[in-house]
Amino acid sequence: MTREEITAKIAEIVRINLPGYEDVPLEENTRINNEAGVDSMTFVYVMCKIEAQFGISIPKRTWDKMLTLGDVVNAVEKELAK
Amino acid sequence: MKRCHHLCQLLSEQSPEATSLVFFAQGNKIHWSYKDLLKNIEDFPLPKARCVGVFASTTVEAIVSIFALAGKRRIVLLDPDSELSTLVAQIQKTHIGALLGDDELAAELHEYLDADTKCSDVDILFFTSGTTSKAKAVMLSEESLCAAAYNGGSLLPLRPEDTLLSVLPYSHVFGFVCALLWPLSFGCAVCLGRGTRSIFFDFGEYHPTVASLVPQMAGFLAAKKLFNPELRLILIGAGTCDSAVLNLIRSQGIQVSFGYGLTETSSGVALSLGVDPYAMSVCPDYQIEIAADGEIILHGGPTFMKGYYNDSESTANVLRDGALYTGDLGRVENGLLYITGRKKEILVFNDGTKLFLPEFEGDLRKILGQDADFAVLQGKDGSIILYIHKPTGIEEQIEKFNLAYPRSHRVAKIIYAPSPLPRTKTGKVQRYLITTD
Repeated sequence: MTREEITAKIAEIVRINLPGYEDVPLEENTRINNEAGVDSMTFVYVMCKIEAQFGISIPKRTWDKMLTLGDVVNAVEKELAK
Repeated sequence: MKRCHHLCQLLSEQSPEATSLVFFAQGNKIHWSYKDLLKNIEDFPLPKARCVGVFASTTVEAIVSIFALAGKRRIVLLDPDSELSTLVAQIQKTHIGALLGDDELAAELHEYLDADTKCSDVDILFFTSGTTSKAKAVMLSEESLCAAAYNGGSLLPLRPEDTLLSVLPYSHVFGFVCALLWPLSFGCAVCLGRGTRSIFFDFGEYHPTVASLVPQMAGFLAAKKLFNPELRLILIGAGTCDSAVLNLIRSQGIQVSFGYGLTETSSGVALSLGVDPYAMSVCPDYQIEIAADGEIILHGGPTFMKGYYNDSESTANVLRDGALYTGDLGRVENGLLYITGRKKEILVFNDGTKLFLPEFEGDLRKILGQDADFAVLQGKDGSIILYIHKPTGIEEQIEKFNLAYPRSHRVAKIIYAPSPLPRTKTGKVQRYLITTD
């Protein structure tokens, strides 16, 4: 799977599940922090959706370090490569 | 029932085959009877260390460890999901000599243990607000925790046939008392949540009739319609809850009870039982006094903490002449307690966590400079607002700053104030004069 494909899949999950991101252009440098209603519970939900989509498990300790969509893509790529 | 062990003995005699715990092990759903639970507690090999840290997630290992150690060792309940630096600070502060409940994490933290600790007390320590050096550990007793479960249960009894889903970590006193001791004290079955990733599926898997949740979880699960049809009661505690969330849950045919309590009181002080979720009946054994400034002062509680660990000054500020000064503001009407705000410089979040403002603002000042003119406020949605006059253009600095904090404790919004912040003559920011709308 290419990085572009991974990014597109993650962007779709974010767009469906994160309030405030429905109509926002999502790029690798788009910030995913606790603005726009992304509280910790919502973020966990989105991460679970992403993990299920790719069949991976991203270490929970790294979740809070993710700032941008690109950070999530990096983590998914790293787990897929294992 | 004064002790966890006694509780299990009693239930094991009364209903030995009744289900005590339901959990998953290697993909299989396991049912333990009360007899099984008691046997595992009694067979548990006690470590030599006098002060034991337990990673208190919702696992059968954590429950057995805690119940077996209670009354025999000092126990420090730790949240395995905490930052490593936080865990190190907590281990060093309380001089933990052994760690149980997560072998991998225990190995990673082994070098910080104090094998020579010689403590004779058998307190159970819960960490409350504060993340690093200023973190406070509240010393509770097994008896006070059991009394709190009984106290709450006398107002809000469960049925022996109830099954309660337990998803909150036992390192949080609300989770330990209201999602473990409370259901066990009625001989109910407790279903152990499978961790953060599974909370969205646990209701569908276990079909509980009761759940104890923090406001954020309750609101999110209700909005996603993830509650099972058998669920009849949700006890919400450890933070303020928006009425829209409560109404949403009720619209799904589920009774909601809202609880007020502190770690310092071993959890429940008051519970809402009627239609108005904010009108709370005070648990037996407590008398409430409202001070001239509106602070809620509690008298006569058998569930009061012994004090803050190694912090007599902070203890003396809160426990005075047998009364506990809560730092919360409230009023009493027709015998019911209403919480109206907070006096202490602590922010309480809807995920059940707290933030000690002076410590947080001190950390911010380190990156913004000593001359920075700012205040940290909490928005109506519970998020953190940084209200700042100077310096400006700090977005990147704050973004980096945020990474050191859990998601709910991050600055969500920066508002630049057009003029210097209002202050008292002593230089303290007058937060109540600031409007952020």
